Amino acid sequence: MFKNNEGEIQPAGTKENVETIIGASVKVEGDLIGQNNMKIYGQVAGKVVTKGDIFIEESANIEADVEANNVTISGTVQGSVKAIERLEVQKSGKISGDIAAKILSIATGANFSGQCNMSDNNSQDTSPLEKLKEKTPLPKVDVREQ
Amino acid sequence: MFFYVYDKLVGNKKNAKKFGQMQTKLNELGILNDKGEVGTVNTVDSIVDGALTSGRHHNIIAVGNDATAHRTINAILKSKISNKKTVFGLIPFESSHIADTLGMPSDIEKACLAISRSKLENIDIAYTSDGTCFINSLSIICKRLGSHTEKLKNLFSRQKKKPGVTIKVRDFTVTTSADRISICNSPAGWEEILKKSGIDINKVSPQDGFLDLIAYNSASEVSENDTSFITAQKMEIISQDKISMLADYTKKIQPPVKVGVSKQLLKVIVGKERKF
Repeated sequence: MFKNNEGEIQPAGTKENVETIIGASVKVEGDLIGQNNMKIYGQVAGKVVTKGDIFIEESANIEADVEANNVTISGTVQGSVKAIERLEVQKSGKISGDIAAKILSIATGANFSGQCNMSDNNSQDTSPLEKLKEKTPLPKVDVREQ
Repeated sequence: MFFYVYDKLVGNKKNAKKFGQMQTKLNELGILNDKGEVGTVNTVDSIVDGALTSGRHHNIIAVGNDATAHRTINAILKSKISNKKTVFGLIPFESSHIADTLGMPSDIEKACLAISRSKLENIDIAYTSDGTCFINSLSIICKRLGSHTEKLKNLFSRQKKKPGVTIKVRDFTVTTSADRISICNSPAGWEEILKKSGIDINKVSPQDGFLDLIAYNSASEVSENDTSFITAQKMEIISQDKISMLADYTKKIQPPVKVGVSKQLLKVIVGKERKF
């Protein structure tokens, strides 16, 4: 029964709406690629990519390129950071690398060394939200003062 | 027809009252059918295989603890005679994580009632490359001291080496020396940690076709940043240190080992308090 059903295993993927949490005691090496939100408190070396949001917490030390929909950085990142929508660097955040985002917020006290690109073409991929917007343009609203 | 696999512990004097209650209740419910008693000659494998070969029994009910349930599930899954009609159930005689997963009450009479109601669910079965199946979890136990030579080294070096484990998940590897590490198919035994770490308990489900790697440090108070949570369908555990692993808190496994999950492979009898 067990052996017969071994072939029925579904291809590797990621469960929807599940957050990945990398704890402070954990070190990740390689390509951490997901579909959902990620919270990182530990160390990552390689690449971090998700269609969801990434929260790089204060204890985190990332030696990797980071790419996500929204990125919030309170820890240390050595590598490029690309946010499809919003990149927020908190006061404890440190980035050594180029950053790209539509919306950028850097708090007082944050440390950033690198180039910044805020043009709309910072990503070749289009976010699901953008695709939706392209298909169904928002209607023009006529605002009249009363 | 129901077939009961009685563990040795069922015959213990301390369980005499429970045993009597169970016999009476099963008789009352009209489901006191055949049974096999585990002993030195009769293993769980041979009992289950015999019951399934007879063709009269589709419902195999383990009566005992986690170890009884684990062995019975493995016997069912490895039997060439078992099929889609085969159902697993558990009457717990001790506190049991598998009973918690299935929602089988610790009260014997209520457990018998749940068996008689036979509410069925299909659940995922996790498996290791050495052929072991598990319902709940594969716990990775990292002993603080490694080999005898390392023990001597550590005695002289003041700094005790904390053993580490590496887990390959998709395109990355996770290295940790967390005190408690587990690959979970069900949340049983991890509820408190998941809750305190702000992780929704429903994310660890034995019906979603995924395994969840959970690692946390028990030395400090449990907080979110001490806990790791990674979901995948396949993982590989390797370690250069002396570690051991326990499938369903029962069977010891040594690394390296690959772990996978087969979606909704086994029919089980569940109670109202099930964890999925």
